[in-house]
Amino acid sequence: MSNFHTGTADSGTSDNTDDDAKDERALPYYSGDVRIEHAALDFLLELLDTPAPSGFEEPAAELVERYAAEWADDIHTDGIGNVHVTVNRGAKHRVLVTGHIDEIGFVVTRIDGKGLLRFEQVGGWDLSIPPGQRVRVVTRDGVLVGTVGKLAPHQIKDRNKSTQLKDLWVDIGAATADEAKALVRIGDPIVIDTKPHMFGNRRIMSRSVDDRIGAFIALEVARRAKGSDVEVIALCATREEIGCIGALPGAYGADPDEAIAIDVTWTSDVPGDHQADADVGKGPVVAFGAATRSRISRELVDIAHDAGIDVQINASGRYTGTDGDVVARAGRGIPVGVVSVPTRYLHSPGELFALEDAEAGIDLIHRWVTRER
Amino acid sequence: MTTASSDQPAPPFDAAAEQFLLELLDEPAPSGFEEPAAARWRQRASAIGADVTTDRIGTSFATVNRAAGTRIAIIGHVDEIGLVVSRIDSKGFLKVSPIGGWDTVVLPGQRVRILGTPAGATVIGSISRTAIHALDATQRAAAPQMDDLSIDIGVSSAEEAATLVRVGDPVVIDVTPRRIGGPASTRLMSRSIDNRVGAFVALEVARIAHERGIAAEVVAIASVGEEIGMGGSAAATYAIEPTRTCIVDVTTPGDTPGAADLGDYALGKGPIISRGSTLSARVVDELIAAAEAAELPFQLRAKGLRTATDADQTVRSGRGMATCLVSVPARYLHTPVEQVDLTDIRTSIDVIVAWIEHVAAKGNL
Repeated sequence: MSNFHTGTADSGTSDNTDDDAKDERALPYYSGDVRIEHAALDFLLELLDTPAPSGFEEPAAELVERYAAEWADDIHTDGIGNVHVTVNRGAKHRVLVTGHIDEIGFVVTRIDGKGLLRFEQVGGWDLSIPPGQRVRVVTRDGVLVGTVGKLAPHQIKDRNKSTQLKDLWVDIGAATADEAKALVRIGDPIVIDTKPHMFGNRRIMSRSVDDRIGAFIALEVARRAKGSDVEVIALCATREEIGCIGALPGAYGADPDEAIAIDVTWTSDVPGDHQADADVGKGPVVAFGAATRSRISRELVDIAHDAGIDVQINASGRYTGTDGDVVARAGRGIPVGVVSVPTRYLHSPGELFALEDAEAGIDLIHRWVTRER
Repeated sequence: MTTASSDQPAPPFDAAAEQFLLELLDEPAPSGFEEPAAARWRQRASAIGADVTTDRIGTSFATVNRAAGTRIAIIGHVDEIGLVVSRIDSKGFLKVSPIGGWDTVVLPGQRVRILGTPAGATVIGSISRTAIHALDATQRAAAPQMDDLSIDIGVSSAEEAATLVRVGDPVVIDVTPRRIGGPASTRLMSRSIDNRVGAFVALEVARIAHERGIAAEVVAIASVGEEIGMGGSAAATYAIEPTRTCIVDVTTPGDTPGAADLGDYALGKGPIISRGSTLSARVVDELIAAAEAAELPFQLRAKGLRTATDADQTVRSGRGMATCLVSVPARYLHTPVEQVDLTDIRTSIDVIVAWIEHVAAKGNL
């Protein structure tokens, strides 16, 4: 989810009005037949681990291509690097499911006289998060490890001042500027150095959940739809985090009859003024509001109800802040729905979601894609 | 008249090319009123043997080596910032609105050209604000607002003004491009360097690609509307669907007082090639590899978000255009004294040509 078009974050109503039923529900709550395991789970974890900030998505794109090569009818990369994975080419209906494979990160803008890397942010960061993090700098000769440096607390006069980009740098252990310049070029991308971690209850914590999980769900929907009478294009879109750039030409090129954009959304199951009404582990979130086609939102909720899949609902009077906003106005206009995976700590290295919500999302979107028309 | 001594480096451009550049810079062409510069550009394009076309919004195309290989678009926007007459007051003074992003402190005291009545006839005037004697201390300290400025065209009534100018007539600063510095200097000072220089580079690249018969279809494009964010470049790439797009624009280096925070960029050190989230990493890497192989100087810059150039528009046009960005370093952008080094323009052209040859040699993949 980009933070460029934040709509009103307030809430819709939860679809789960029966509190007793909710209380009795034991984990795992999702009882459908979609299960992310084995090769699919390995792929997801590797996808989460792959560094690919906006504009530098090729490593993630290549991984997607390898994974889809085993079952897709067609895979192609368009002019700006979106990967289109198609099944059932030529079927009567064509549906686009899209998630973005870019993530937020940084880019080296200057190597200073001491060999420290100055950087700009790629996408929307809370700058209180990077200081002290270990990072990976992706160079043409391989990945370097470094740390985000700032002055020690002893050196800071006003500790209440918020962190600015100019107060931060990346230290790759170089002793001189020449040493750093031999290793790093201006324009090399940077991500936080964390490994995905799966908890015992199948919740996952990682960077880049936003929005590798959306791209993963799109791919799994296409894989499951193979052999149906609907052409499904899973669009793994680029450059969402810098303003929903890639999905616009991606959707234009795919030219579908209708579309679902899959992203992540913030949650209400944390302390504070959370401006949300969706919890991790209570089902995918269906968006209602001004940017989405209400017909599709209703269909998704009805299908979920009939199939016994729990969903949550959010609403926005303006944009959704997802690629759904640009898919809607691509080409001659595309009817679009938005489904989100409730995820804590968005735009941090500890983004946290429940695998079950992703499984329920795949089930729901697959049912919608292959519904009777 | 002096005789060039043999230890002087060759001039960056031959007389015809330099003459064309100076004429192109001199044509008044704010966004929406690009035709004078566009027409001059197309005239040169025809003369070098390109196929010349325009689209409905005024963008010009010069195509060489048609169908000889993959299609590569080289785009420089031909519009510049300027002003437009918004009102003629009762005494015949003209009020104006900005076209593009002005630093208003540069405007008072400037001579201007208005493309007036009959259509396009040059009317000379000057921009004034209240005389300093009549400003209080607060007013003196503040940057003037557009509303504080008027253009005086030497008339004594609204009626007289109306015989020379209509609401909607475009205005540019009245300065002539000129070479500056010592005898060996390659510096040029002018308004509209942003971005006539880009349009010039694009056409020179096409001229050379044609001359050398490079196996790539090269489409030089003089696009409209960049300074107002409209981006004629997006419509242009949508129409021709190139496999690669190179935006040529200008950018502020860090070699002037107070600009060091912009980084270690300077005039005379070659084009600034951008890497970053908007651009196509694959195409940028091709461009860098070609420049390195040809041993041409360049400066690397990175942008975490938008580039604030036409690249932001072209990447998402049509099915998505793989785009790179070459910027000629130029000082004092958006003033009438923009300054550029001709050697940087030369090297920008050479880098882009080297890249096109590199792409053609690869078999146009």
